[in-house]
Amino acid sequence: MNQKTLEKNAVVTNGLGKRYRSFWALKDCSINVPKGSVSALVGPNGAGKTTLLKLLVSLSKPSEGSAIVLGSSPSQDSTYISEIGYLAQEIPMYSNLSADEHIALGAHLNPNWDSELAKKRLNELSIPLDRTVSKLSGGQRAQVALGLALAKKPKLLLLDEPVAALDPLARVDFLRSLAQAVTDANGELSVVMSSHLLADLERVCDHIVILASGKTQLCENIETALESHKLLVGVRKEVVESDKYTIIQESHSARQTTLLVRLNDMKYHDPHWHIKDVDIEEVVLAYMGQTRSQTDDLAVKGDLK
Amino acid sequence: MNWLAWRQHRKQFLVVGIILALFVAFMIPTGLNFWHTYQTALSTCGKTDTCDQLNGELFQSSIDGLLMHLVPVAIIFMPILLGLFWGVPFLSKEYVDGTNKLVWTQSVSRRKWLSVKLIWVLVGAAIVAAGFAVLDTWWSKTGNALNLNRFTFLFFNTQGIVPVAYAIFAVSVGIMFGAWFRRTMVALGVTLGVLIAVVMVVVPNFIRPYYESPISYKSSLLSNTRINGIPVSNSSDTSGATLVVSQATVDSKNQAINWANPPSSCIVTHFPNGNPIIPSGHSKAVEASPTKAGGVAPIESQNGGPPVSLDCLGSLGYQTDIKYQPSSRYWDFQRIETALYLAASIIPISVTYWLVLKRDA
Repeated sequence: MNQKTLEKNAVVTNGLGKRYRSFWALKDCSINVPKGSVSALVGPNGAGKTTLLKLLVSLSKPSEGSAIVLGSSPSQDSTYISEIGYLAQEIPMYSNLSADEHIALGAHLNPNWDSELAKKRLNELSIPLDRTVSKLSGGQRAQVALGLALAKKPKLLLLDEPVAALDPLARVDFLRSLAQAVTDANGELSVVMSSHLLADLERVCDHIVILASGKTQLCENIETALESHKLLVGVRKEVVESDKYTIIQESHSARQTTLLVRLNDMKYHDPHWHIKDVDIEEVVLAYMGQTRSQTDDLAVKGDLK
Repeated sequence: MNWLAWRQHRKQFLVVGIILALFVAFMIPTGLNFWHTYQTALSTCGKTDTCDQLNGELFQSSIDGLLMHLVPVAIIFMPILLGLFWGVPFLSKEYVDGTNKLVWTQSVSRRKWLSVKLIWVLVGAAIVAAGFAVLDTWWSKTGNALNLNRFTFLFFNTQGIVPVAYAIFAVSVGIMFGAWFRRTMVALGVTLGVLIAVVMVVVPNFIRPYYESPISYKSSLLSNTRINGIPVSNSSDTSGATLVVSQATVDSKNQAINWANPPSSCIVTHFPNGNPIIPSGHSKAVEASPTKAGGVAPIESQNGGPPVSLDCLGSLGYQTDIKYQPSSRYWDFQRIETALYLAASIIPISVTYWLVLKRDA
């Protein structure tokens, strides 16, 4: 990892892996998250999204590889954790404490805490501050948790499936709050948010990391990803390998062959193919489907035995 | 961090504080009453020369005599209950609710977080235990004066300074298992088992008697020194609060008697009145029978051996050897046991630090 990469990125990982007994929850994960970006961390269940985020906030230790977050490797030091906001998947909070008391808790435990900001945000959303959080709705809890993570004034915000349990309206509200926070931070805040709700991510994210089968499949700016991935449609043919592109997904019908490819040569042109643009959802599904079909194959073979 | 520790644990401090207050409300008047009754009895017994009988008789037939045992029975569980209700959920609840992930990602290191919380709960447990111990020690002064043996398990474990050490140990063990299993019910079960085994079985029975090498007291087996086969103590040392370590019948060379094969000359087959003796089997049995002289001739049979005349053994030089810890060592033993438990608490506390700092959230 050279110095320039480290300066440009909020997160750089190199061959990061985590093993639980004999099972690798994450393997060979090498990603860059540019400073000031809002990155979507996508992948199927069990792809290692939660594991990766926990490694970055030093809630767990890597089995191999390394990570550099905001210029230093993850540790339990208070100086390291003070720069990172983290929201765990189940949105844990002390059920017998109110939002107000959680804000007080943060004020006692963090050096740069902004209680006023947190209270203002929650007041704007008409969330009762004096009620114990166990009596709040799921959407309100998520907003309180986001407010707490932001009141810490982090430089990096790690959100683990924050909207998964929310209804569509609460989800939109949450993402709007997040987008507002990113705007307010004026490029000082980087966000990594995991989710499998692709439409939501597209709304707020400008960078994408696809994890599948415990590995990094893609780590790119979303615009770049949309430019470099194309759909090739043509008359059916079996052999379609080329050094001009890498096939992510291929499908054959009786008459035609459809390929979702990543172009190695951006000016690629071939009269045999009809070249179409793709949206981010198609790209993600192609990468996830690629690994899915591999596992499906294995499953089918297993069944035949 | 102190704010959070206080906010999280104030309710349990309050609950235990109320329980302690209830004990105070009950024990102050009863304790005063016991002492008053005892003093009154002391002032009157001198006239009738019956002060010796106070030990056996005062409180014996009243509800007060029962209370003197029941209250310590309740208090003896205090450290274990602290271990279960303060110790176990201390970390297991954080793991179960996932709030460890919230608090470990604030700007405070796990080490500091754990240290501050531990200080609060351990100091709290020590204060609570000290409260109960002081209260019970004061309350028991009548019983102690009346020779309810404060060296026995029930009274030793509830008086003096050891309850404080038990509480710290019990809470530490509970915390460790809570962090270890991360599941409250499992940790509760294991903690309960370990604490009962250590505090109530292993230490009082197998370790405490040997803190200092016991004193040996030998008494004759001859019947004129015994009442119904039990040695009449002529030493003030073995009376009062003593911890009897062992009791055996030994010969003049200090060899313990083999009851299955006793000296054949002392085996008796018939009572002096001619009736045959039916051996009472393997359990220890002391049988007294009238002698021609009008006294008692104790006969004993153990381990399935034949009945033996104790007077005969006595004339061969056999003696009863009682190994015991004298009452003068009571506070030594309190101090030794306190130090032992405090030192032992280092183990669960160290393991807890290891579990919190080294294991993944």
